[in-house]
Amino acid sequence: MTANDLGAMAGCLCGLLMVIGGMILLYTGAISLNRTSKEEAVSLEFKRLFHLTTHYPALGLFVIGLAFIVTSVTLSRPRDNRITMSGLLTVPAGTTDLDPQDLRLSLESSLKPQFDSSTNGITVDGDPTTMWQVVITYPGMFAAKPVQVLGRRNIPLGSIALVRVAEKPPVNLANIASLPTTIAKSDGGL
Amino acid sequence: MKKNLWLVLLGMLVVCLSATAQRPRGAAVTGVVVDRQERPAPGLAVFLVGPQGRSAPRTTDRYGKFLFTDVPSGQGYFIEVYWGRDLMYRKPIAVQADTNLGVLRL
Repeated sequence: MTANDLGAMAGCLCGLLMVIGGMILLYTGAISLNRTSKEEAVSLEFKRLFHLTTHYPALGLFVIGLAFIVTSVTLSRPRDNRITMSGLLTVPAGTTDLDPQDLRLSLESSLKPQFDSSTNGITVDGDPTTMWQVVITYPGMFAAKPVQVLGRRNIPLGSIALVRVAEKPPVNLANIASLPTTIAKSDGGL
Repeated sequence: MKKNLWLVLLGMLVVCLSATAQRPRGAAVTGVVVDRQERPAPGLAVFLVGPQGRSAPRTTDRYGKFLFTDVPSGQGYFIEVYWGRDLMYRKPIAVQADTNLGVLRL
Protein backbone atom coordinates (compact mmCIF):
# COMPACT_ATOMS: atom_id res chain seq x y z
CA MET A 1 0.00 0.00 0.00
CA THR A 2 1.51 3.32 -1.09
CA ALA A 3 1.39 6.69 0.68
CA ASN A 4 -1.17 7.79 -1.93
CA ASP A 5 -3.42 4.86 -1.06
CA LEU A 6 -3.12 5.70 2.63
CA GLY A 7 -3.97 9.35 1.96
CA ALA A 8 -6.98 8.41 -0.14
CA MET A 9 -8.15 5.99 2.53
CA ALA A 10 -7.75 8.65 5.24
CA GLY A 11 -9.72 11.16 3.12
CA CYS A 12 -12.47 8.62 2.56
CA LEU A 13 -12.58 7.86 6.28
CA CYS A 14 -12.83 11.59 7.13
CA GLY A 15 -15.71 11.94 4.66
CA LEU A 16 -17.52 8.95 6.12
CA LEU A 17 -17.00 10.32 9.64
CA MET A 18 -18.47 13.69 8.62
CA VAL A 19 -21.50 12.10 6.99
CA ILE A 20 -22.13 9.63 9.83
CA GLY A 21 -21.33 12.30 12.45
CA GLY A 22 -23.77 14.68 10.74
CA MET A 23 -26.46 12.00 10.86
CA ILE A 24 -25.79 11.42 14.57
CA LEU A 25 -25.89 15.18 15.28
CA LEU A 26 -29.16 15.44 13.38
CA TYR A 27 -30.56 12.50 15.32
CA THR A 28 -29.54 13.92 18.70
CA GLY A 29 -30.92 17.35 17.75
CA ALA A 30 -27.62 19.20 18.00
CA ILE A 31 -28.19 20.45 14.46
CA SER A 32 -31.33 20.66 12.40
CA LEU A 33 -32.28 20.85 8.79
CA ASN A 34 -34.47 23.90 9.35
CA ARG A 35 -34.10 26.78 6.97
CA THR A 36 -32.08 29.59 8.55
CA SER A 37 -32.45 33.29 8.01
CA LYS A 38 -30.43 35.14 5.41
CA GLU A 39 -28.09 36.46 8.11
CA GLU A 40 -27.37 32.94 9.43
CA ALA A 41 -26.84 31.38 6.03
CA VAL A 42 -23.48 29.71 5.63
CA SER A 43 -21.39 30.98 2.77
CA LEU A 44 -18.32 29.30 1.33
CA GLU A 45 -16.07 31.06 -1.14
CA PHE A 46 -12.73 30.17 -2.67
CA LYS A 47 -10.84 32.93 -4.50
CA ARG A 48 -13.92 33.98 -6.49
CA LEU A 49 -13.72 30.67 -8.33
CA PHE A 50 -16.19 28.91 -6.14
CA HIS A 51 -19.07 30.38 -4.17
CA LEU A 52 -21.72 28.48 -2.26
CA THR A 53 -24.40 29.85 0.03
CA THR A 54 -26.83 27.59 1.83
CA HIS A 55 -29.72 28.29 4.16
CA TYR A 56 -29.39 24.71 5.42
CA PRO A 57 -25.99 24.69 7.20
CA ALA A 58 -26.39 21.11 8.35
CA LEU A 59 -26.33 20.02 4.76
CA GLY A 60 -22.84 21.51 4.53
CA LEU A 61 -21.54 18.65 6.68
CA PHE A 62 -22.88 16.12 4.22
CA VAL A 63 -21.66 18.04 1.18
CA ILE A 64 -18.14 18.41 2.56
CA GLY A 65 -18.13 14.77 3.69
CA LEU A 66 -19.27 13.62 0.27
CA ALA A 67 -16.66 15.85 -1.37
CA PHE A 68 -13.99 14.11 0.73
CA ILE A 69 -15.24 10.70 -0.34
CA VAL A 70 -15.59 11.55 -4.04
CA THR A 71 -12.17 13.21 -4.15
CA SER A 72 -10.50 10.29 -2.38
CA VAL A 73 -12.11 7.71 -4.62
CA THR A 74 -11.26 9.73 -7.74
CA LEU A 75 -7.63 10.27 -6.74
CA SER A 76 -7.08 6.67 -5.69
CA ARG A 77 -8.23 5.26 -9.01
CA PRO A 78 -5.26 3.58 -10.67
CA ARG A 79 -4.11 5.59 -13.64
CA ASP A 80 -3.69 3.79 -16.89
CA ASN A 81 -0.22 4.79 -18.06
CA ARG A 82 0.17 2.01 -20.53
CA ILE A 83 1.31 2.69 -24.04
CA THR A 84 0.65 0.55 -27.07
CA MET A 85 3.12 0.16 -29.88
CA SER A 86 2.07 -1.60 -33.03
CA GLY A 87 3.77 -2.19 -36.31
CA LEU A 88 4.81 -4.77 -38.84
CA LEU A 89 7.96 -6.79 -38.24
CA THR A 90 9.70 -8.21 -41.27
CA VAL A 91 12.27 -10.95 -40.84
CA PRO A 92 15.23 -11.91 -43.02
CA ALA A 93 14.53 -14.38 -45.79
CA GLY A 94 14.89 -17.96 -44.68
CA THR A 95 13.82 -17.29 -41.10
CA THR A 96 11.25 -19.78 -39.98
CA ASP A 97 9.52 -20.38 -36.66
CA LEU A 98 10.34 -17.06 -35.06
CA ASP A 99 9.71 -17.58 -31.35
CA PRO A 100 7.94 -14.48 -29.94
CA GLN A 101 9.33 -15.28 -26.47
CA ASP A 102 12.83 -14.41 -27.66
CA LEU A 103 11.83 -11.00 -29.00
CA ARG A 104 12.87 -8.05 -26.85
CA LEU A 105 11.97 -4.41 -27.33
CA SER A 106 13.79 -1.53 -25.71
CA LEU A 107 13.77 2.22 -26.06
CA GLU A 108 17.03 4.04 -26.46
CA SER A 109 17.64 7.74 -26.49
CA SER A 110 20.21 9.50 -28.58
CA LEU A 111 20.32 12.34 -26.09
CA LYS A 112 23.93 13.18 -25.35
CA PRO A 113 24.56 13.81 -21.67
CA GLN A 114 27.03 16.37 -20.38
CA PHE A 115 29.25 15.33 -17.51
CA ASP A 116 30.83 17.64 -14.97
CA SER A 117 33.84 15.81 -13.57
CA SER A 118 34.22 18.25 -10.68
CA THR A 119 30.80 17.41 -9.25
CA ASN A 120 30.08 14.11 -11.06
CA GLY A 121 26.85 15.78 -12.18
CA ILE A 122 25.19 14.58 -15.35
CA THR A 123 22.87 16.76 -17.41
CA VAL A 124 20.85 15.94 -20.50
CA ASP A 125 19.41 18.66 -22.66
CA GLY A 126 17.37 17.99 -25.79
CA ASP A 127 13.98 17.50 -27.35
CA PRO A 128 12.59 14.30 -25.84
CA THR A 129 9.80 13.99 -28.39
CA THR A 130 12.11 13.21 -31.26
CA MET A 131 15.20 11.57 -29.84
CA TRP A 132 14.06 8.03 -29.12
CA GLN A 133 14.70 4.83 -30.95
CA VAL A 134 12.81 1.61 -30.60
CA VAL A 135 15.22 -1.33 -30.72
CA ILE A 136 14.00 -4.88 -31.24
CA THR A 137 16.37 -7.79 -30.74
CA TYR A 138 16.06 -11.46 -31.52
CA PRO A 139 18.90 -13.98 -31.23
CA GLY A 140 21.39 -12.95 -33.90
CA MET A 141 19.19 -10.10 -35.20
CA PHE A 142 18.21 -6.56 -34.39
CA ALA A 143 16.12 -3.73 -35.74
CA ALA A 144 16.10 -0.06 -34.81
CA LYS A 145 13.82 2.79 -35.77
CA PRO A 146 13.33 6.38 -34.55
CA VAL A 147 10.00 6.83 -32.85
CA GLN A 148 8.01 9.57 -31.16
CA VAL A 149 7.16 8.31 -27.71
CA LEU A 150 6.45 11.06 -25.22
CA GLY A 151 2.88 12.24 -24.81
CA ARG A 152 1.46 9.45 -26.93
CA ARG A 153 -0.45 6.36 -25.91
CA ASN A 154 -0.70 4.65 -29.26
CA ILE A 155 2.60 4.62 -31.06
CA PRO A 156 2.62 3.46 -34.65
CA LEU A 157 5.90 1.74 -35.49
CA GLY A 158 5.20 1.19 -39.16
CA SER A 159 7.31 -1.45 -40.81
CA ILE A 160 10.44 -2.59 -38.98
CA ALA A 161 12.95 -4.91 -40.55
CA LEU A 162 14.95 -7.32 -38.43
CA VAL A 163 18.49 -7.63 -39.77
CA ARG A 164 20.60 -10.70 -39.18
CA VAL A 165 23.98 -9.65 -37.82
CA ALA A 166 25.28 -12.88 -36.29
CA GLU A 167 24.98 -16.54 -37.20
CA LYS A 168 24.17 -19.24 -34.71
CA PRO A 169 27.23 -21.47 -34.54
CA PRO A 170 27.09 -25.16 -33.70
CA VAL A 171 27.41 -25.76 -29.98
CA ASN A 172 31.06 -25.95 -28.92
CA LEU A 173 31.17 -28.40 -26.02
CA ALA A 174 34.48 -26.91 -24.89
CA ASN A 175 32.52 -23.75 -24.07
CA ILE A 176 30.15 -25.51 -21.73
CA ALA A 177 31.35 -26.29 -18.24
CA SER A 178 29.25 -28.55 -16.09
CA LEU A 179 27.51 -27.10 -13.07
CA PRO A 180 28.53 -28.43 -9.68
CA THR A 181 25.75 -30.19 -7.86
CA THR A 182 26.07 -27.75 -4.96
CA ILE A 183 24.59 -24.94 -7.05
CA ALA A 184 20.86 -24.69 -6.73
CA LYS A 185 18.98 -25.29 -9.94
CA SER A 186 16.14 -22.95 -9.08
CA ASP A 187 15.96 -19.35 -10.20
CA GLY A 188 17.74 -17.03 -7.83
CA GLY A 189 17.37 -13.45 -6.80
CA LEU A 190 20.20 -11.66 -8.60
CA MET B 1 13.54 14.07 30.17
CA LYS B 2 11.99 15.24 26.89
CA LYS B 3 15.39 16.46 25.71
CA ASN B 4 16.92 13.05 26.46
CA LEU B 5 14.20 11.35 24.46
CA TRP B 6 14.96 13.55 21.46
CA LEU B 7 18.67 12.71 21.79
CA VAL B 8 17.90 8.98 21.87
CA LEU B 9 15.70 9.30 18.77
CA LEU B 10 18.38 11.33 16.99
CA GLY B 11 20.98 8.71 17.87
CA MET B 12 18.79 5.93 16.50
CA LEU B 13 18.31 7.91 13.27
CA VAL B 14 22.07 8.38 12.88
CA VAL B 15 22.70 4.66 13.47
CA CYS B 16 20.05 3.72 10.89
CA LEU B 17 21.42 6.17 8.32
CA SER B 18 25.00 5.03 8.77
CA ALA B 19 23.94 1.39 8.48
CA THR B 20 22.19 2.21 5.21
CA ALA B 21 25.18 4.13 3.91
CA GLN B 22 27.54 1.26 4.71
CA ARG B 23 25.45 -1.38 2.96
CA PRO B 24 27.90 -3.03 0.57
CA ARG B 25 27.15 -2.19 -3.04
CA GLY B 26 27.22 -5.20 -5.33
CA ALA B 27 29.54 -5.47 -8.26
CA ALA B 28 28.79 -4.93 -11.94
CA VAL B 29 29.49 -7.74 -14.40
CA THR B 30 29.76 -6.84 -18.08
CA GLY B 31 30.83 -8.54 -21.27
CA VAL B 32 30.31 -8.85 -25.00
CA VAL B 33 29.05 -11.94 -26.81
CA VAL B 34 30.26 -12.55 -30.36
CA ASP B 35 29.77 -15.32 -32.90
CA ARG B 36 32.54 -17.33 -34.61
CA GLN B 37 33.15 -14.47 -37.05
CA GLU B 38 33.64 -12.06 -34.13
CA ARG B 39 30.37 -10.30 -34.94
CA PRO B 40 28.38 -9.05 -31.93
CA ALA B 41 25.43 -11.29 -31.17
CA PRO B 42 22.28 -9.40 -30.12
CA GLY B 43 19.18 -10.82 -28.47
CA LEU B 44 20.87 -13.60 -26.49
CA ALA B 45 19.83 -14.42 -22.93
CA VAL B 46 22.65 -14.23 -20.39
CA PHE B 47 22.37 -15.67 -16.88
CA LEU B 48 24.55 -15.64 -13.81
CA VAL B 49 24.39 -18.86 -11.84
CA GLY B 50 25.57 -18.66 -8.26
CA PRO B 51 25.07 -20.27 -4.90
CA GLN B 52 21.66 -18.60 -4.68
CA GLY B 53 20.55 -20.01 -8.00
CA ARG B 54 20.06 -18.59 -11.47
CA SER B 55 19.62 -14.85 -12.04
CA ALA B 56 16.95 -13.20 -14.11
CA PRO B 57 18.17 -13.05 -17.70
CA ARG B 58 19.83 -10.06 -19.30
CA THR B 59 19.54 -9.71 -23.05
CA THR B 60 22.52 -8.76 -25.18
CA ASP B 61 22.00 -5.46 -26.97
CA ARG B 62 22.71 -4.76 -30.61
CA TYR B 63 26.43 -4.59 -29.83
CA GLY B 64 26.35 -7.95 -28.05
CA LYS B 65 26.83 -6.26 -24.67
CA PHE B 66 25.23 -7.34 -21.43
CA LEU B 67 25.32 -5.90 -17.93
CA PHE B 68 24.51 -7.26 -14.50
CA THR B 69 24.44 -4.83 -11.61
CA ASP B 70 24.47 -5.27 -7.85
CA VAL B 71 25.99 -8.74 -7.98
CA PRO B 72 27.15 -9.91 -4.53
CA SER B 73 30.94 -10.02 -4.81
CA GLY B 74 33.48 -12.32 -3.26
CA GLN B 75 32.04 -15.53 -4.65
CA GLY B 76 32.20 -17.69 -7.74
CA TYR B 77 29.56 -17.77 -10.46
CA PHE B 78 28.92 -19.39 -13.79
CA ILE B 79 28.01 -17.23 -16.75
CA GLU B 80 25.57 -18.80 -19.18
CA VAL B 81 24.58 -17.64 -22.67
CA TYR B 82 21.53 -19.03 -24.44
CA TRP B 83 20.71 -18.66 -28.13
CA GLY B 84 16.95 -19.05 -27.91
CA ARG B 85 16.53 -22.27 -25.93
CA ASP B 86 20.01 -23.59 -26.66
CA LEU B 87 22.81 -23.29 -24.14
CA MET B 88 25.84 -22.03 -26.04
CA TYR B 89 28.25 -20.98 -23.32
CA ARG B 90 28.85 -21.71 -19.67
CA LYS B 91 32.08 -20.82 -17.90
CA PRO B 92 33.00 -20.21 -14.26
CA ILE B 93 33.88 -16.65 -13.29
CA ALA B 94 35.02 -14.99 -10.09
CA VAL B 95 33.41 -11.72 -9.05
CA GLN B 96 35.57 -9.81 -6.57
CA ALA B 97 34.68 -6.30 -7.74
CA ASP B 98 33.29 -4.73 -10.89
CA THR B 99 34.18 -7.32 -13.51
CA ASN B 100 34.51 -6.99 -17.28
CA LEU B 101 34.48 -10.47 -18.76
CA GLY B 102 35.65 -9.16 -22.13
CA VAL B 103 34.61 -11.05 -25.23
CA LEU B 104 32.69 -14.33 -24.93
CA ARG B 105 33.10 -16.28 -28.18
CA LEU B 106 30.36 -18.78 -28.91
